[in-house]
Amino acid sequence: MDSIQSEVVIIGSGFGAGAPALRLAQAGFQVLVLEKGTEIVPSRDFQQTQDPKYLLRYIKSIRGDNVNFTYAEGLGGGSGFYESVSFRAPTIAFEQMSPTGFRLWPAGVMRASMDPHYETAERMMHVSQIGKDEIPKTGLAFSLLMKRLGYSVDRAPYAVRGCTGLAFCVAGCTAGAKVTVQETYLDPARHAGAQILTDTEAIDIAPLRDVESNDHTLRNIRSMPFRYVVRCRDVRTGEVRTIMAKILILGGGTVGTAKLLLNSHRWLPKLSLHVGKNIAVNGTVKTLGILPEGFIEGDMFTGRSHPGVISYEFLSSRGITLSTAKPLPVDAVSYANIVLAGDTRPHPWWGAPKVELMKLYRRRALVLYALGLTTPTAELHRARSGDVQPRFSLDPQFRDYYKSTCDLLHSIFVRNGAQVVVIKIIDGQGSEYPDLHITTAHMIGSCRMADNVKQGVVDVTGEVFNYPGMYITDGAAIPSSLAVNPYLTILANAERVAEFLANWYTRGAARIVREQMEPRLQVRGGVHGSR
Amino acid sequence: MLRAFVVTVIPGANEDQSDLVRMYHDTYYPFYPYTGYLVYDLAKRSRALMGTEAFDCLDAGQRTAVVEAALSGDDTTARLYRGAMLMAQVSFFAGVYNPDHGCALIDFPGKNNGFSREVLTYPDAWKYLGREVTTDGNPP
Repeated sequence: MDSIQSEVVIIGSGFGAGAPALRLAQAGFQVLVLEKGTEIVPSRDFQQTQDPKYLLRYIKSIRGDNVNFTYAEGLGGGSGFYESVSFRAPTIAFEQMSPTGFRLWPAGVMRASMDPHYETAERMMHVSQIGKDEIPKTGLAFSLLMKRLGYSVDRAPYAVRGCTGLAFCVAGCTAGAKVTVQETYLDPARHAGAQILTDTEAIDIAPLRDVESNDHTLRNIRSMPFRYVVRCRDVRTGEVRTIMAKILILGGGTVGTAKLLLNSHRWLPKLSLHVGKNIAVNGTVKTLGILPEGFIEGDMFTGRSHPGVISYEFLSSRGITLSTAKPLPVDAVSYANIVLAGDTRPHPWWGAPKVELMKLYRRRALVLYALGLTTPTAELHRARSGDVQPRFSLDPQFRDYYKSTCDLLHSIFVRNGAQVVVIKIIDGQGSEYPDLHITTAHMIGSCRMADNVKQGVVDVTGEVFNYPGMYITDGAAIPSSLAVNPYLTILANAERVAEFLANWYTRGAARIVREQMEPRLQVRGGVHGSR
Repeated sequence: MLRAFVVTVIPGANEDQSDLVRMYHDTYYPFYPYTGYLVYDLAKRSRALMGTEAFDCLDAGQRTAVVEAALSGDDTTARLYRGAMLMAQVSFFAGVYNPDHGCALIDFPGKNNGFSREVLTYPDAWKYLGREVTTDGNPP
């Protein structure tokens, strides 16, 4: 079996992995990035197509009874396929409490302390607020709906440069307008000496030695022993190799990181019981309506897919943000059966009624969706095969949230004279789910940050409880719903942890000034806190 | 037979469109092994309801009745038909085999080189924008 050694090994290459890869390479550490997906050259590989064969090459999903989790696999992770909208999480997101009364975010992490890292992430991703003259028609239609009811609407910030409105954002931007982690973090990391292996899937992790004893005092990476071994498989050839790391960083995403740790449990018996648990679905609620005759038209098939706007009108009162979206036809027809409310024809979800509705879709359909501060209750369960399946309990609290939010969104349509479209989510074979079914790409928290091992999987510095030298820097570590798209928070947190790691670990040359470390050490409750 | 099925599910689709039923024969999709059974059931059901196996020779109303009967049938048959209808809709509306042209019936242009400002937005956007509560679009 082939074996490789690297001072720092990072699993994944998306929003959670790019920052540690770059910062640690820039700090002079030997960095190796392992990515399960394939190398992506946007100009060569991205296509403007709705062909599932292309889309499913990069967009993966796992299905449970009540929930689907969607994520991307490929170099750069979700950054190739996201909608580029770039929000900081609201202050109240960081103030959420668990049902048992503790603060979900660990001590010291709040919006104010995250702002410098948000600023770094925004600068790296070239984020700017969309101009009033750039808002796509569908965004303006949403804005007018809200304006007529006296509700506020703000222009959203994006990681986009020179958008020409191709509308295939979530298939990968063929114009290169969307800023990606590849461009901003991975390419510079390579330039700073990092190596990246694609088509390499991490199978499991084991410690190389007893890592519990004095490892918290190990900071000089030159003298530090190798502490973890990652068993990997080349997904093209099946060849298995082992990779030894002194510092191991897990950045494979909410699903990938949890799956890896769940599959490593027999070698990592002291992992928190919270691995795979406490996943937030970000309160996703989606509705559809048909704008009334005489209203300004939207356009589902031109312009950026996140059409420029967001409303914080209900953030304080209900913990939700509202926006709109522009699903292209493959998503419109494969996600749900859609029927005009009150259509009593015998088969309204196919035949003539469906064609009539689809003819209205481009210019008269409008999606209203909410993201909210819902309690993190979803989980990932490991099957014997090693795959994971999501589970989401539709408890009364979530059902109440879903109904009241749906009612609000429908009322916005109705009060504007728009027609509500009934959405019945369907499975991959066209059958309607009997109960609520949530599909989200915003799942976070499967290995959440916390103040202690009884509440989470990693501490405030991202270090896995009981396993010094192993860190989680992706969405798995984010402990709560955010009520906004999560990528910027994931990236900012990764920058925060990467900054800490680049200063904490040394190559034995410069003396670290303790005062510089003091705030972080205080947050950790001393050198490594009480556990 | 399959072409007649698709234009029953999607009235207005061009029965002569070259790729109309290509998805049913595409081995990439899990429906592929069941295509033959779909055709067999359409013929059998047409005979039972309309006196002829030639589903493709029935008029639109008759074809619709045959499909409705299948959807109201046993779970396995209903699931087969729902799957087949999903395949038809995805393939047709998304222009899966025709990315350069999309789907003319719903004015989906497909692949493009970008659009002019006049297509993308309205010149008097300010009329539609309401009250903002932030300075940079981020929540408080």
